[in-house]
Parts: sequence; structure tokens; C-alpha cells
Amino acid sequence: MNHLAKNPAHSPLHQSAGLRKPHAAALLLLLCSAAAQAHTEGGVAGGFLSGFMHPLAGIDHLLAMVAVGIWGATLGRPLVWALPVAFPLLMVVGGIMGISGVPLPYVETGIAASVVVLGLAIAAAWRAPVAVALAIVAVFGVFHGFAHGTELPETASPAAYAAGFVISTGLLHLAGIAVGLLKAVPRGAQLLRTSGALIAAAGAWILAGMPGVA
Amino acid sequence: MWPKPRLAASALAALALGGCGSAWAHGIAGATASIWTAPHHLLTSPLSLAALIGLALVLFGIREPASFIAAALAGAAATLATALLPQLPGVLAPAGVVVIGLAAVAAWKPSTGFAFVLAVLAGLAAGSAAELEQARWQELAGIGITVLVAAFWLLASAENLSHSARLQPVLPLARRVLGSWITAIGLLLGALAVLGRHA
Repeated sequence: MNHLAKNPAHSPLHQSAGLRKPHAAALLLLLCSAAAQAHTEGGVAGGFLSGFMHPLAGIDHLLAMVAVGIWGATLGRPLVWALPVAFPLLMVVGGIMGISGVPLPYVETGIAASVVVLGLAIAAAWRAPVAVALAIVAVFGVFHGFAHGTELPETASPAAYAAGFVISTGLLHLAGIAVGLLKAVPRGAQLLRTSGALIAAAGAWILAGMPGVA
Repeated sequence: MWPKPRLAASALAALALGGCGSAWAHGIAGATASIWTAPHHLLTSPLSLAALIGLALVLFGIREPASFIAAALAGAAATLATALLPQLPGVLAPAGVVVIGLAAVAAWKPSTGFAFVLAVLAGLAAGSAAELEQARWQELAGIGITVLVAAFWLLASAENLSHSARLQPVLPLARRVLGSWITAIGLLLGALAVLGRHA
């Protein structure tokens, strides 16, 4: 019998249970934060939720974020982490422009175009050079950030709103990376290319002003 | 898992549970002198949480006793930041968070000395971002203990995660991505502070 089997404290089962306890504490903390009474009049939770929902509520934001993750995953290292890292950092630049009232033309067109371009890149399985892929994501990140930033000053808690939309955006990237892992399964590459085509089609539909939607 | 992180996790859970009951942050009849005021402020401040989570990302895998010393330094720095809050510039907390976030993005593995410097920076950022209006002994003790326990718990959890064989392929990626979120939040709130909006 080996050492691990002799000492139950080192067994995988025990370690797994040990890991769960800190996680339970984390869950408790999350419950605590729901009250969010320390700062503005119940505005921290409201601000966070408002910011968190902003990228999820708009199909253009949602598709573009997921597409960034899928494209990064299909391109492999280092872009699998470089794209999701670059996007929020450049999104902040757009956000600051939006907050400070710097004009940026064609924001909605730029956001819709990001869905089309990223969708086409996935559909065409485009192996873009690192610098080109980063530049594309950076430019589109500014447009998305601008849209979030223009809504930020009106919220009750700008800090919580900012944290909400950054985390939500990042989670959508991670969801996209998870989808992109399909490339490892049989016919996964075709599935991903099809999903890219669907994203690009949705982007074209958004770009055309969503005909058929009241 | 070591008993110490488990104890720290339980202490933190008790802290959170104790604070869930009612709004003690400002009290029904104005600001009350309670040791729980500080945890409320700290745990509902996105920038404070970002500083402590960012610290755990940078010092990922740091072992005891260095992790405890780092947490203690962060706690002491947070106490100091709370005591000196009126004298501190508004951009201190976001700037500290940006430095910590960028260190995580760069996957920097600091020496023990730099780890302690980063812990002090995280503590200063967390303490000043908590924005406690008064610096009585209750608030000072509360912020110091909360930052110590929270930082130690995060560092201990990160050390546990670093041993997980299943997570090894994704951990470096996750550290960089989470670091970019921390940096983005810090940059945005720094801009808000510079523009004169309440963050």
C-alpha cells in the first residue's frame, strides 16, 4: 500500500473535500455581497448587475465576445490568452473615451462589423498573424468599450458597474474558449467554422438594422 | 489540505455570515462603531476585492509562512491606508490595482521580497478603496483583520489550486486572463478618479 493510501488525509477524496470548504466560504461571501449595503443606497449590487448584464443583453456584444474566445482558441497559443487579455484592456480605452465624452463615430456600425469580421475569421479558419489578430481585437474592443462607457456615469455605482461589465465580458470570452475546444473532437473544426458562419450572418443582420425585428 | 487554510476559511465564512444579517455599514441610526463596518466596506468594494484577488494571482502558489507574512503585511498596510485616508490621493487604489493586475498578466513570479512589496501595495489599495469614513479603533482593527484573513485565505486557496494536476494546463492562462480583468477594472476606476467622478 502506498503512502497516499495509508494516510487518509492525503487521499484524493479527502483533498477534494478539503478544497470544497474554501469554496463554501467563497459562496458565503457572494451571498454577503448580495446585500451590498456598504456604499451607495443599495447601488453596489444594482450597479454590478447592471454592468454585468450590459454585454449579455445586447446580442451584438454577446456574439462578438464569444467570437473572440472561439477565434483565440482556434488560433492556439499565445492568442488563446492574448486575445481575451487584449480585449478588456483596449475596451477600457473605449470606456474612458465614452465616460469623458470624446466623440467616436459609427460606434454601433463598428460593433456590428466586429461580429461580422470575427465570425468570418472563424468561418474561414483564418490563421491571422499575432499582431494582426491583436490589432483587430483591439480596434473592436474600443468600440465595445465606448458603448459600455457611455452608460457608466448614469449608474448608481460606477465602480460596481465597471467591475460587472469587465467580468461579464471576460466570462463570455472564456465561454468562447470553451466552445473553441471543440476543435479537438472529430468534426469539431467543421462545427466551429459553421458557428463562425452563423455569427457572421447574425452580424450582417445586425449591420443591416435587424430587418424583421420591430 | 493544511488545517491552517481550513481554519482561515472557516473564520472568513463566520465573518461573512456575521455580516449578512443586517446593514451595519452605516447603521440604522447613523454610523455605528462596529468592527463589522470594515468588512462590509471591504467586501462590497470592487476595487478592494480586485486588489486582494490580484495579489493572489501574482503570488500564485506562495507557501507558508511567506503567504501568512504577505497577508499580515497587506492587513497592516490596509490599516495604515484607512488611518491616513484623507491624505492619500484618490488614484492610489486604482494605480495599485493596475500594477498588481499587470504583474499577473505578465505572469511575473516575484521573489519573496517583491512579493511582500506587492502585498503592501495590495493592502494600501484595498484599504483606501474601502473608503471608511472614520478611523476609530473598531474600523482600523476590522479592516486589518479582514484584509489579513481574506488575503491569507485567497493565497492558501491559490496554493491549493496550484497543486491540482487537472488544472495545470489552464492555470497559467486563467492567471493572465483574470489579471487583465483586474487591470481593466483598475484602469477604468483610475480614469473615473482622475475625471472626478465617485468610483
